[in-house]
Amino acid sequence: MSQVEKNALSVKGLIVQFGSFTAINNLTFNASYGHVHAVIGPNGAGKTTLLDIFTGRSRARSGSVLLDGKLELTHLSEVKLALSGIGRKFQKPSVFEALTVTENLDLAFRRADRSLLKEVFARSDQARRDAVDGILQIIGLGAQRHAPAGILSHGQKQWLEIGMVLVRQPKVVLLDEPVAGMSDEETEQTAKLVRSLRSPERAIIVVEHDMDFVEQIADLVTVLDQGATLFEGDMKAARTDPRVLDVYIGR
Amino acid sequence: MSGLLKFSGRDRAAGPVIGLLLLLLVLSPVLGLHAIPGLGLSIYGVNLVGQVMCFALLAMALDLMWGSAGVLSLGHGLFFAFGGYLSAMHLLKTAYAQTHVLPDFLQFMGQSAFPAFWWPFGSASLSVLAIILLPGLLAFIFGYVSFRSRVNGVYFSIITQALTYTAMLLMFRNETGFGGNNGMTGFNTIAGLPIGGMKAAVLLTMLSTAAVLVVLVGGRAMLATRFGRMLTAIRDDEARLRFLGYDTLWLKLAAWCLSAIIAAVAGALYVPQVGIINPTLLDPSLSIEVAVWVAVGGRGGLCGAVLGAVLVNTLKFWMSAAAPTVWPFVLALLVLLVVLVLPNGLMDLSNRSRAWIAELTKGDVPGAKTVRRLS
Amino acid sequence: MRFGLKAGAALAAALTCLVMGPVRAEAAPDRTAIVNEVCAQGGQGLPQAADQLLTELPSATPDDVSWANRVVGAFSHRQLLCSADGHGYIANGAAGLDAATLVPAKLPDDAAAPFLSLRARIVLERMEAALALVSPVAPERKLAALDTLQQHNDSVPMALVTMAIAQSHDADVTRALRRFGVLQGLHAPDTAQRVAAIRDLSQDTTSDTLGQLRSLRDDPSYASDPSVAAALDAGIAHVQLWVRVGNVLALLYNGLSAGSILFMSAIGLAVIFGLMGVINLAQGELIMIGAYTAYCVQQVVRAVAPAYISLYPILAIPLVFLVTAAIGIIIEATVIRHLYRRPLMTLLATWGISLLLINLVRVGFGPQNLKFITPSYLTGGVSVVGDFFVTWNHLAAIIFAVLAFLGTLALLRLTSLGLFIRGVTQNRDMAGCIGVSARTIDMLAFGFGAGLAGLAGLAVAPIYNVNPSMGTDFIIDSFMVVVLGGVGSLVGTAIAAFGIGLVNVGIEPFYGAVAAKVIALLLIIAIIQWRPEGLIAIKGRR
Repeated sequence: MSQVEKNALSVKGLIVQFGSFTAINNLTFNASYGHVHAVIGPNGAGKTTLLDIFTGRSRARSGSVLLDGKLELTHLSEVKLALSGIGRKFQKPSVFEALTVTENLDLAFRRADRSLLKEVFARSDQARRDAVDGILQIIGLGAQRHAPAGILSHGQKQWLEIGMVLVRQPKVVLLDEPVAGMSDEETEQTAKLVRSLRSPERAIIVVEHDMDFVEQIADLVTVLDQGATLFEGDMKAARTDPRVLDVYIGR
Repeated sequence: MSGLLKFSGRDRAAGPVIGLLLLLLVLSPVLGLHAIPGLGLSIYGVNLVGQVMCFALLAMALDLMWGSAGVLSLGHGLFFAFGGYLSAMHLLKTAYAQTHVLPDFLQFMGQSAFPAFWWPFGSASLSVLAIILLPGLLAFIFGYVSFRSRVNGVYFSIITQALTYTAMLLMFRNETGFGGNNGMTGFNTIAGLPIGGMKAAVLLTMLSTAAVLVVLVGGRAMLATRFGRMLTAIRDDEARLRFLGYDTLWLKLAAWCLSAIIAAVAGALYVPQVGIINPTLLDPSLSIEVAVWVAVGGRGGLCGAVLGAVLVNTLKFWMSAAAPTVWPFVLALLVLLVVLVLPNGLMDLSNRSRAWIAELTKGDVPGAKTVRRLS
Repeated sequence: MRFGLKAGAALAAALTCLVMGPVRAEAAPDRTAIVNEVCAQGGQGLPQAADQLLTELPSATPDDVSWANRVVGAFSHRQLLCSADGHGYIANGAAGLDAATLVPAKLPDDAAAPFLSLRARIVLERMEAALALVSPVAPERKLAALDTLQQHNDSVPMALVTMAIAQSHDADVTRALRRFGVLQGLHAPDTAQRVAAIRDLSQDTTSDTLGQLRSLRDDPSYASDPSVAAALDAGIAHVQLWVRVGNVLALLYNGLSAGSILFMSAIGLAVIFGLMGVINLAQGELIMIGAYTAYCVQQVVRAVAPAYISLYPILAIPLVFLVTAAIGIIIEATVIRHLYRRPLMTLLATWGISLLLINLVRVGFGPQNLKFITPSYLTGGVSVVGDFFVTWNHLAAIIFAVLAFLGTLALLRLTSLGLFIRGVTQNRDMAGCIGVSARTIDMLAFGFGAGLAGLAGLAVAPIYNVNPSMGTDFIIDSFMVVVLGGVGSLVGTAIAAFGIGLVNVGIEPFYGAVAAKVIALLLIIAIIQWRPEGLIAIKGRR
């Protein structure tokens, strides 16, 4: 396997500005298949903005984001990005509260090779049901499968949303603060879940504040500060790096 | 939780509502044509039922977008009136074929014949096609430009209202060529039956009731499919659905055009029953009133829309005759009551009343508790 | 006898000189000569006498003028009698006055009124008009006199016009006199005088002038005299330029005044929608209530202190604001407060409120239009350039809007209340953390927006029909303004209001008011395609 094939996302010279505020400043960043890549940094470092660029929520001023080293992502719409294999769990759990857990997952099973019209009239075939059942197993919500998502607990909603991202088999999974607001026990379970998701067909990027959680799951840590990379390496090294300490403790 | 309650509530109402509509479908010819001696309705009465059914249809059209996809149109009067004008054009062409007298407003404008673009309206089938296609096309264009630029929420509501308001100003002008202020009237026959007669009234009422049934049953079936769930997903979190790879523009546009066509059909059925169409149907407050009917009956699932339209309009017909100055106050207070106390309309009322009854039967001093609940 | 009269006249002139100071008395009208001229040919000498009087009038004293008025008046009322020896008298009841000296004199038996021919009547009318210019009469009379002179295409000596200008205290009259003088000069026999007149006329850059100058091209001298032609062409070019400038300015001004009305009706909505994300469909009714409050203030002032009635709009400003703000606060506290998470329901609720307000006012005041008194300082206006005329009431509306804009901006940017409002807008929970009660702020912001709507009602009261349903006309227009300008941006609202006002004013004369509305709406939909956030977007992470 060459290096180019291993990289799922390659970010080069990315600049994002909101008015006069530069959120991301000439960032270079790579996320490879088979890894869980954590992005940490203080508030305003540009973590969520980076995920917004990957999902089409914000637009880059300049720079490039390549998927698999060939597909330029910076100009694609949210829908095209999702269909090309980027899946995202948002910071605030966003599930369809009036639909049941199964219905949520069923809707999330959106196949890129189908037109919207075909998707509307698609029958619930065995493959589809199997995919949904498989995810229900993974996220552990089998017992709540017919409950409306609105009555789930906060943690369960987070898991459901992770499940909705996974059911489409995306190449890149983006998790924005997956354990925010979770109990210790739920955090523990989520860490297990994320570790189990590691696969050679998938690159996982996690944005998180909880350092212990990051240490449990991450193969590689990138520390962002003021929109640029401050540090890259494993979590243990990050914890002792003077620049990282300065950013976290120095202010 | 409220979502759950609402779902169960609306499902409970569906059976009785459909039953009542079927009964109405059978009863209107029986009562209208005086099949049972001593038991019958006047032409006015039959017409009234038909009109209320048209309003129910209009309310369902609105609920299809609002209750399901969370998109509130405050301009459905536009499509209702559009259908109405197209239907009036057909009726005028028919009348001309029989009497060879040009409608007043065309004579007034110095015309000696119908303008060329009226030709399709001589044919009933082409007219029906126009009633479906033209409002659908208008809805498509407006929906496309609005949804594409992500005009949402209250923005969308107000822009639909502005569109209707502008259309009203336009139609009030004589130069627009559709009768201006006075509108179009002087219809003669529909399907060979004299307009204003009992047979036509019964026919139109049956047609309207049947349309309500078709849209209610068909619409509910549609909402139960994956398409319906997609609309629900749009209401809950449209951005999330987009990030799942659904281009919500087309989903909303499909529902929007369908909704507009239903409203246009309602208008087309309404006009021959009242015998006139003029720009007052485009008054923005009528379009808001439609939203009030739906809010009163309860959003989502289409049953509430039918119930709300029937109840509010029956009340309106009665009060406008009995106490015309009081009616606006009643309507205003009804709106505030529903919005503040019963966010899901009558569906809430049934749920709450059951909760109250449950409490009353258990409590020692029921009166006191009820008062506390109400305050 | 003749000598005596002359001496009397000289004495009178000398006396006037003493009283009036050193005026040019050397060529005072020769009263006796004039009267004799009239009477010499039994009234046939009137035109010559009139010419003489007009020539001598510029050096006349006020006394001379009143004498001349007396004689001319007497002639036209057939009270001027001529004796057989060519002497003039004025009948004064049974007694008589000497027409030249106005001293009592016995009427000779053979004194008779001269024949009043049609021609004589015209001459007299012209004389009366010319005299009016230099007599102490109302400005309207002078303007009417000028009209008469112009209609008859009469010329009067330039010196008389100069004198009239010197005496005039009224701007309109002075202007009309100048113009009259210039117009006379256009037809003067002397080329230099004509050229000067053309130059003078060109200073008054109106489309009337342009018409007059253009018609001069038909004059033979245009073709024959190069200096006249050059002056005329230069004059036309000059006036044309300024008329165009004036038309552009007038369009801008009318757009600005239409825009300021739009802005006033939209600013309250902009505050409420921009800061709170709530659409208040009862905004138009708050405007209506503002107008009704102003009406109540007017009625109270009229009853209590009628002398100060013209000050009622100023008195109404704080009262209108307070009343509508209080109503706004009540609406917020009883209804809107419960609906912040359900914005679509706010639409219905505020519509219900608007229905309630309309019908309450209809029951209380009746459905008819209210009558407002326009204070004198708001009527009329001043001409600026070309046909551009600044009317005071529109200027007041513009100033009012500018003040409201600056006031709101200052309140939001400079005061601590504004800081809190912006804080709550941006982060409700956070603002709560630092001790700002979001509920109070919401209430105050809503009240403020409502008060602004009330002020809009005060501003439109003199221009629009004020009745219970007037508010429905405003809500859609003002919402369009807010959307176009960009939600949350007051500057955007102002720009959008001015833009839509300009479009309306620019289109209306050609295609009518409805077309203007349609085009404005289409424009808005088009602009939303291009910039969904409105003209001025608040940039940031969505």
